[in-house]
Amino acid sequence: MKGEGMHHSTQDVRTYFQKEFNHANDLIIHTLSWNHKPIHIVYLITLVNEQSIQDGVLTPLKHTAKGEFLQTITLGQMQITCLLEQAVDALLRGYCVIYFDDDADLYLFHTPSSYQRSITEPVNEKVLGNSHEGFIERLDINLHLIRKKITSQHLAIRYAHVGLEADTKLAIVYMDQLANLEIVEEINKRIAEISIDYISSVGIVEQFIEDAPYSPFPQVLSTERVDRVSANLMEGRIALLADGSSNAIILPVSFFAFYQSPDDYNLRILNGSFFRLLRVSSFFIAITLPAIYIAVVSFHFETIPNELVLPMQNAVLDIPFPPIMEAMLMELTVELIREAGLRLHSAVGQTIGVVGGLVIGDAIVRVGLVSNIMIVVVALTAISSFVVPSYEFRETLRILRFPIMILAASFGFLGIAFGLSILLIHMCKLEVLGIPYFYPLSPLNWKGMKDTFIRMSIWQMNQRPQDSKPQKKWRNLWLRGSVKHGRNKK
Amino acid sequence: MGETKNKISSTQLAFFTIQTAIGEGALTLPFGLHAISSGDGWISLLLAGITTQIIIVLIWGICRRYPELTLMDILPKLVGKLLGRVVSVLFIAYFTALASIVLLNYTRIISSWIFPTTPRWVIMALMMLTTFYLAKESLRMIVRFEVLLSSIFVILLGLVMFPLFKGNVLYLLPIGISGSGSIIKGIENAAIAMAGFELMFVIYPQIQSKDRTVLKTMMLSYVIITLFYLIIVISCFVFFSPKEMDIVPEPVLYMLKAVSFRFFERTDLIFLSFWVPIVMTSIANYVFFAATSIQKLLKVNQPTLVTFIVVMVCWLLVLMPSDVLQMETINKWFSKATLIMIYGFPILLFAVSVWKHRKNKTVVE
Repeated sequence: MKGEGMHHSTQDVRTYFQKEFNHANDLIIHTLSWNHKPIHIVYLITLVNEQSIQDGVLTPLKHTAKGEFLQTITLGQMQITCLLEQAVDALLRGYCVIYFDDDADLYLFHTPSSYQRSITEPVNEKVLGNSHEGFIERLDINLHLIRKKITSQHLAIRYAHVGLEADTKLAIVYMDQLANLEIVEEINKRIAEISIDYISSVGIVEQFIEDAPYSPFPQVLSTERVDRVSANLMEGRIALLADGSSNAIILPVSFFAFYQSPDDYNLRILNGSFFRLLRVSSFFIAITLPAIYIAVVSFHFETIPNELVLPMQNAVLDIPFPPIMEAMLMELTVELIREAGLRLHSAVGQTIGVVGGLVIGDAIVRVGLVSNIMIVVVALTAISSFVVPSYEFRETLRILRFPIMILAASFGFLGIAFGLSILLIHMCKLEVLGIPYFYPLSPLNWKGMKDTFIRMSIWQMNQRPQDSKPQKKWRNLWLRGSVKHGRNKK
Repeated sequence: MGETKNKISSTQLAFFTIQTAIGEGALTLPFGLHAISSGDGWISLLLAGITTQIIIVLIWGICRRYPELTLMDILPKLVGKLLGRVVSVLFIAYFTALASIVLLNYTRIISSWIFPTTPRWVIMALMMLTTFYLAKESLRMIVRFEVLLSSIFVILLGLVMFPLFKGNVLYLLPIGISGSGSIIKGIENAAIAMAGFELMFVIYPQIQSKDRTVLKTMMLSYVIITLFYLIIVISCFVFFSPKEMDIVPEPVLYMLKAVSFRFFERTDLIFLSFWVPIVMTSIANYVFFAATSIQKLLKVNQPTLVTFIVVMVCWLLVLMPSDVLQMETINKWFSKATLIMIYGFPILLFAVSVWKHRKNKTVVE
């Protein structure tokens, strides 16, 4: 039965609701008598705040027996509809529905359960000194956090709904006068084209809208930090949030965005630059170090300086496996330990760490399966791949080094050179929403390099990153006022 | 992606030119020059540089008359439909052959220096796979990668500098010992290492700047390329005595073999491995020229397929010659062909285009 705005009998509406919800036990339908008329109150007890229904609906109805209906109810946010379908939809969003027998109108009151996780610092994106707010699983709260951070009327928030069976609310957030509106339009289009039953997290949306799904590189930045989102919004990027997900995805981003941490900008310029340099070089260490070891031991022993030949030889001599086997064994062990420890309770995780790290690491050398230099190499590699301040990029580094290791085992340094070439070509080819991924290195832009390998002073970065093609190229002139730039002269 | 978006800037053109011209040749050039004009090889090189500049002006002179057309469209207009087709096919064959020759020579060096037992076709296959991955892209993407890659030059040039200061400058003296005849003969050898400026024929319509800027950029790139070769040649000449030079076929590598650091020995191995991308870009660019020209000639638009066919042809071509003597014959034969293709033809074509232009003018008048 569709509500066509006609008189429907009590029994009809009641049966309709019960049928739509398959006689769910948490569907509550109260029938009271008010003003000598029967009045029906419907809600899903698992989704609403019972206290507010009690205070806002039931108590007022009991105390004032006469008068205008709408003035009696003290709840805010009210909608009137005559469509039963819309009422069903509203019930699913935590509304309570009130209707009269002889009236086609249905009154919808927003009485959501106020349960929410408190706003805490994200566990896997710790920073030292900055705001410690992190997103939670409720879209409205997350948007509230962003609005609070960016007090500007230009902050645009657009809602979208995705999911055919169970729909999820998305929010597209951007700065109206900064973000490239063509990109916003493209994202809107791609989201509108998504056809899927249900979206469990914003990560699913990411897979539907990205350009190169088979690339190993993450093409959107996923973060739980409010400050990171707002800083990126101010650079003209676009953030995507979904109800039920505690992280936002930022796009379009380039390679170097994954290496920027909000901490960098609070540190002194020299310190910040040093740590940035350290992080970017960790990318190369994490990818190539085991490969270089394999290449040297299996092909290019002559590249080792004389003083190092003996220690290397002693370490490698009694190992029964070729270096690639040795490396694979150790790398896989580390991956296993990491994967096992990741999702376990922290107490058990510690045990795994001890068993894996100490017992296996120590014993495997004593047994003579793996050389101790290999252990050093693997440990360094593992640590280097943890340095990146983005969870997804860590995963990328984990898998990228295996093909290069195999190439090194077959062709030595030559294999590494080929592997890195293909990797570089891929990174130069990759584009995210028409934006080059490896900007500002390729296409080369010296002015854009101020925030890549090193972090220049804030007042020198008065040009916005051009990779997101913002509408305004320059920031408002950032000056230090009466303090001289550079050295203070008398 | 629109046609206008697929254009490259003049800076990118410079890097593209450098990457096309500098390849495997740099490793063996000093030996080849020394064999003909001994200690005066660097003079031959300079003269070759000047010759190249003239040819660049000529090619530019042809291209600027047809700013929207590539060689495949220009040729029929200049020399008639049938002859134009024949010359087009010749150029395509030249591009493909040059890619193959570079691949052949570099694989030979790698086989003898690093992997004597690895079958050569495996290394070639690896090289061509990487080439395919790069060459099937649009010009803009290729250029992006090559600009980035050019940073390797700085490192490698630094490595070459070490022996330069260890050498003995007296080895260069007396200047002019080999006589003018040998010096002029040496130009031929140096000119082949300079090949690459013919890229203007293929990518001229895709360059975003005014025609004068293009000329300036090309000339400047070739000044840089000539200087680069000059540094390598001179550092080899001062590092090895003239007698030693006669017996080291890859002098650059032998020279780097002597450079060692506290933490690293055998710099030549690193150099050889990281020279791979530089050689690869040369091959990839020629494969790209061949593939674009074929597509223009046959009027199809399937870059991936055509590039794949060109890559396979290159790979199969280099599988044929097996021994060193055969390779040398091929190299000798091909260097003659190169001279005709990139020095002979441009002069001819320029003359024809000037003549046609004049005729058109008189007709109009």
